[in-house]
Amino acid sequence: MDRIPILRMGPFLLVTIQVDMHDKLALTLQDDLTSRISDVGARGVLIDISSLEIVDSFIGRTLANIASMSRVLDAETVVVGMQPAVAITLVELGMSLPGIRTALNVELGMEYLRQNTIVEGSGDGWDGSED
Amino acid sequence: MTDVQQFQILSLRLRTEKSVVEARQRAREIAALLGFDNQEQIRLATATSEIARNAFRYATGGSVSFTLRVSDRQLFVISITDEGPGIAQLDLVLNGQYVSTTGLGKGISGTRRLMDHFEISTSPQGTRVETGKTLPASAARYNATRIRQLIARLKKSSDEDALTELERLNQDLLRTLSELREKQEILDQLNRELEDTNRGVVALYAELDQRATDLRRISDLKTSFLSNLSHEFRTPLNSIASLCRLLLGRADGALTSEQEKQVTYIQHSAGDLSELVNDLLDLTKVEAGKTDVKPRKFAVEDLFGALRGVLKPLLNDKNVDLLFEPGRNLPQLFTDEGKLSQILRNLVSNALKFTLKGSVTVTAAAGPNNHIVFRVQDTGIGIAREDLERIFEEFVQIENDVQGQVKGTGLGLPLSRRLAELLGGTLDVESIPGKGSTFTVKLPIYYNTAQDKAALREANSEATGGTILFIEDNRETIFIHESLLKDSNYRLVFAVDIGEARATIEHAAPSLIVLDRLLHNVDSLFYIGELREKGFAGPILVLSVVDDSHAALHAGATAFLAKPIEPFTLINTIHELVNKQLSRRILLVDDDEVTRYLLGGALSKMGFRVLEARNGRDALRVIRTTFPDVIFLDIVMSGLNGLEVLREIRSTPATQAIPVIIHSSKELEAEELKQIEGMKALVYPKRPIEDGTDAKLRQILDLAGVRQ
Repeated sequence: MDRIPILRMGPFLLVTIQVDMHDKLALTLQDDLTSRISDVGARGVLIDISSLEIVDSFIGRTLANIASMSRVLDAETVVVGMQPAVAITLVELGMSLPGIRTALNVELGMEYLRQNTIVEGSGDGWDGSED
Repeated sequence: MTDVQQFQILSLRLRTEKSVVEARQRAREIAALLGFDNQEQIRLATATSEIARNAFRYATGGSVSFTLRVSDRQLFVISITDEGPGIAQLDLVLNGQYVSTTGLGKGISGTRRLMDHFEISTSPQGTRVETGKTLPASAARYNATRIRQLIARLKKSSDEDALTELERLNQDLLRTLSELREKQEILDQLNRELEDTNRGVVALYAELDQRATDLRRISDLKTSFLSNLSHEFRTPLNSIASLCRLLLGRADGALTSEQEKQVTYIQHSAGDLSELVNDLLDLTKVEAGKTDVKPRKFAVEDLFGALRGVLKPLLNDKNVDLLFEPGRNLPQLFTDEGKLSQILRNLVSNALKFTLKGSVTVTAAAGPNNHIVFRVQDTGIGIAREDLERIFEEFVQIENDVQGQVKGTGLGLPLSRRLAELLGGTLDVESIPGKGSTFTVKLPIYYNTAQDKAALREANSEATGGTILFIEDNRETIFIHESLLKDSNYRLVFAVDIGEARATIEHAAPSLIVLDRLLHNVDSLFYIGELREKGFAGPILVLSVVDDSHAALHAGATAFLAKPIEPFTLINTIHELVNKQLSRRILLVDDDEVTRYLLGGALSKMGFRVLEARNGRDALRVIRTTFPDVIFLDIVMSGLNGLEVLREIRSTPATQAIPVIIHSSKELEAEELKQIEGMKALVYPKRPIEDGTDAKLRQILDLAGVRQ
């Protein structure tokens, strides 16, 4: 069965969507992500869609769902690297993706997560360790 | 009106979820080939995706067809048909007012916005959506040939190499991830097993410890039983021997010759029994470790000379020669002469018993490693091979011709071997039945006292430094404490919780208790109060990760250390606390310097450590910081008077158990005496220091429960 890999980086989860997802795959990702968040107690999720060329209403909605579900699970979601043409199309389609935090690229997304999530038990925050 | 030409480019069926993806990808490709810019390609692909999804989702399939409609303008048309149930609320859907239960309700209305051309027809037999976009003006003019070329290029690019490759990589990554996870699980599993094993081992150790303790106790019991019994036997035996002597001495008149014979038998029997009892007593003494080795310098020749004299009577009417042959250049020995003599005496008298004719030869020679070797060689009946070790077991006597005639206790050889071991040596035997036996004693020339001390410590450490009870639940910490203090002269006793501590404390009689503040997640400070209540007056050292010495001292602890603790700090603190304990501290509270000087001097001579305080306030400060073992308290002082100080001492939990002796020249009134008694203090009137003072002080200190 197809799956989008979810990588763990310290307190954050990193998802890079590199294939044109069919609907079921998008739903699987949504399920996988939410369970990973609660399993590892992740504080942030970064979804990189820079290689995604088509975001239609369903995928847009799935992204929005992931964002709100993870918020309920106390994790912040940042969607990074959306192509300008994709953004324009989404807006024309009537989807403004409310509630999704976006960033231009992975670096800025990570920066945002580091600053906006309180990582337990340390003053120096994210240390990149896997435990 | 111009002619409208229609060119079919591609059509595909919507069968699976993936065909929705394929449809939009095809839309994008064709759009690119037709000359749409990137933004338009994405609009077209997105629109196709929306409509194709609707067909797949609501009509469970359908077909997509891409065509180019050429008239005065060129329109790229995407038509999607299905045979589903149709769209019920088309108007609402088109307005964007429809609220979808499954999607966002944006699919159709959004698509309309994205595209130039949009037509929809729906009926219960199916739905057809046709949507399209005009080619940019810059695009080429298409005819049948060009369309064919386009289709050819399309097929070429549809090999989907990149996508397949990516999917494969994706799969690899996923596989690696799941393998990693499996390994993690295996590791976890192993870890759990190890932990289980560990727990088992710890439990086993505890059980072994318990067994060892039981065995030691049983052995101690046996020893004390035997030693008591032997003592009890001795008295009547001595009486019998004395009475026999009286009778044989005709002290109360003459005996007939028959009577004399009988009394003599009684005397012999009593003698034999007495010998048995003495051997038994010696043996139990050695076993209990109660035998002191008293080493001194002596020469082998002198020892042999003395032995010759002692053993001569045994040679009476025997056809046996007893020869002593000390070797040449023998060094002086430094060991316990009495015990060595006892060993050799036993061996020689044994040899004589089993030798009917021939000789018994005693030799001495220097051996390797600063040892001396004594041999007692006889020409007797010898010992069978299978009995060689048994003869060293207690009460074992070997059946033989001679054995019937000779009497023995069966204790001589075991005792001799024990004594040899006590002196750091060995006792062994070689024998050829019928030819004779040779007993060999090997001893160090210098009896090593240090070794003796180590052995003593090993054998239940008569702990010169006192006993320390550690109440600590962490095995590692216990191990660390143990290894830190293993070379000290303290005896260490460990309890893993309060329950065990309660059980241990009675017989351990510790001079110091080291208490971990957090035992199995329970704050153990409460136990200090319990200890003090039960009369434990010794120092209590509290260890905790929480640096709160106040709480510990307030609860009645003597000292506090915050973890982590430097090993030397711990050792030093323990030494300090135990030594303070060993020399008891007495606090003298008196405003008169001369009194403090005189009484302090007397007490110091008795071995106490004397602390002083000039007034009540001073006294309370000293008490709170040092917890003295006993307090001599004057009544009449400026500021706080003695009774007020006493009241303060008794109302503070940490100090309420400290014995207080009221020491005043004031004639106490009945009311005052009642108060003092009520606060459990003793009274020792001030008197001049004179000859009997020491005894009186000792008496009052005894009453206070303080002994030096």
